[in-house]
Amino acid sequence: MRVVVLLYSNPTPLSPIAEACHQWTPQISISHEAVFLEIGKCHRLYREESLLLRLQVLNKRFGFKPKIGVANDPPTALAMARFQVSQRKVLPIEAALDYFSPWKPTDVLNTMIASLKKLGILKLEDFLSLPAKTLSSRFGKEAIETTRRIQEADQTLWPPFVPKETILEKMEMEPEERLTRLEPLLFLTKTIIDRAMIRLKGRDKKASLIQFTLEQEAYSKIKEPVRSYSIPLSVPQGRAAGLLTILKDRLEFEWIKNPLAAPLVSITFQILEAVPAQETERDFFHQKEEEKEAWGCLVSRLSEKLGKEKVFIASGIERYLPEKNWIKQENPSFKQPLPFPSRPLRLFKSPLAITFSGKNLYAGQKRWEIEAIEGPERLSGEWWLESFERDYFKVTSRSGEALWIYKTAGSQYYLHGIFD
Amino acid sequence: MTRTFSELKHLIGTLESSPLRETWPCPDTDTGLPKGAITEICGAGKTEFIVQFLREHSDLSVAWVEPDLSIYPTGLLQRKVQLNRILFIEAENEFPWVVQQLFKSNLFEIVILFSTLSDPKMLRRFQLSAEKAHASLILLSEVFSKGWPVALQLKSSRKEGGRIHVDLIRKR
Repeated sequence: MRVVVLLYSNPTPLSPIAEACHQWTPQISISHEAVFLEIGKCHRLYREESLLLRLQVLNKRFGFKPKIGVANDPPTALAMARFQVSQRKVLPIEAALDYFSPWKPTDVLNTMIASLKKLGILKLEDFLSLPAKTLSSRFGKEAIETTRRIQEADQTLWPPFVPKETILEKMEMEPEERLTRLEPLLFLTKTIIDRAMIRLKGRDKKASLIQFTLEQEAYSKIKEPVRSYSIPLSVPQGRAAGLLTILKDRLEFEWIKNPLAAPLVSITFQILEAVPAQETERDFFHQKEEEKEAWGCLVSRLSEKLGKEKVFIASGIERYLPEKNWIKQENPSFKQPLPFPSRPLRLFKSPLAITFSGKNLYAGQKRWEIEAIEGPERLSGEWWLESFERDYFKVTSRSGEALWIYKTAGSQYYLHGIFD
Repeated sequence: MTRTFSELKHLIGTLESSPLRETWPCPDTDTGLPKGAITEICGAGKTEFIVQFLREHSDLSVAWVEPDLSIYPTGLLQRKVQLNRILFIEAENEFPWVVQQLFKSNLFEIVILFSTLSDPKMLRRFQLSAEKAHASLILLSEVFSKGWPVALQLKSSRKEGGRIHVDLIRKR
């Protein structure tokens, strides 16, 4: 067993830190003041020194500066963090509290420790060297129990840490820093989004649905003091930078229609839905992961602005109906289409009804003088879906344009596409 | 010495243009399509022409933007263009913003826009974005714009047998 302890001197919400640490080890526990990480089985994944550096960077992003201790059992690591020593034999007698109750605060041993110090026993090792038979009569049953817990420190039970279902980060504003403009709001929002995404990364997931809530000062004239924006992400995001850009676009759009009516009191960022992330190791020579993230961010932003159906990659499928033989999809595979005669490059979503008059073809206000006609190509079938029967012709006009028209079973003609 | 406004614009264009601008070799043209600049193509067969270009350059990543999407992906597949490298976007009225975001992302070497643009300021913004991204904007227009930021204007037409012919109209 090898344990790293992060000890926080000020009252701190520790769940977010613990969640973020899940990316390094699954065995985590938290107390009222510390986060415990068991890294003994991870020595093949990373070195202890690199983990300590990463933990410092992580805490810096959260705005904390914990004391760090590393040892072979939780109580020793906690005591080393508290007293900033690197060996157990120099731990002071006060460290006995950490061995007696590493997970909860306690003052059970205060009297015993005071007595020991009066007797000149200042180090933990000195306490352990006392004869066991005399401990009970002189210091009570707590001394026996303390000795046992110090000697069996590597068998300390871990209370499991279970992260909350949804990730929520909230920031409350001081009265003097309440905002009404977008740019400073985004600057502050970056901090909480960053924390939320670090926690999400610890779960090995990416965000697919987020909610951003702004709470304004509750003036009597304001109809909607709390505004929530739910943003579904067409491409799940794993980084704060991408989310911030998407959020900025959305807020700019919303605030043009409905600007803020009062200064902000708090901002809340919540990840409502997440999907498993398929992270791979970064390539030193190529920037594939960065490009993939940038692609995902761009597609999400465009989809958010235009609609999910408006941004896509196309793929061919095997159907005879011309307007249905391709689909929109995320990861298409290259498929050769069925061996058709040549198809136009432009296909109208709604075919235009056309009429003929002599050598002229009319569609709405437009007229073409017919030079040549090729065809017919008969397309029919799909009785199991939406049965159809069309005779297609390629019409070349005198002006050089090539039109793709078809005739239905009822002898009505339509302009379906153009060979542009 | 007085000059007319158009003479001054031409002079600025001459000073700004780089004789060493990189180009992508292009079938049926001697000039090639300039990188980091705007190329405008009008006439019958303009889409066919650019699709041939995409087939010749199968390694380029492309964004295809139309306000009202009418491009037929099956037609591209038939002409042996791989669809997995083209991002299609139906931008409606937001196409100026979309084009800017595409250039800013630095993910695409070619951005194709099917629209007729008459606003020189918009063209100038596109030209600057394309230059910064070292990518090309291909405008497929119904009529030629009068915007000076366009580096190359080509007129396409269909000849006998369906072959596409391209004439150079203007090169800056």
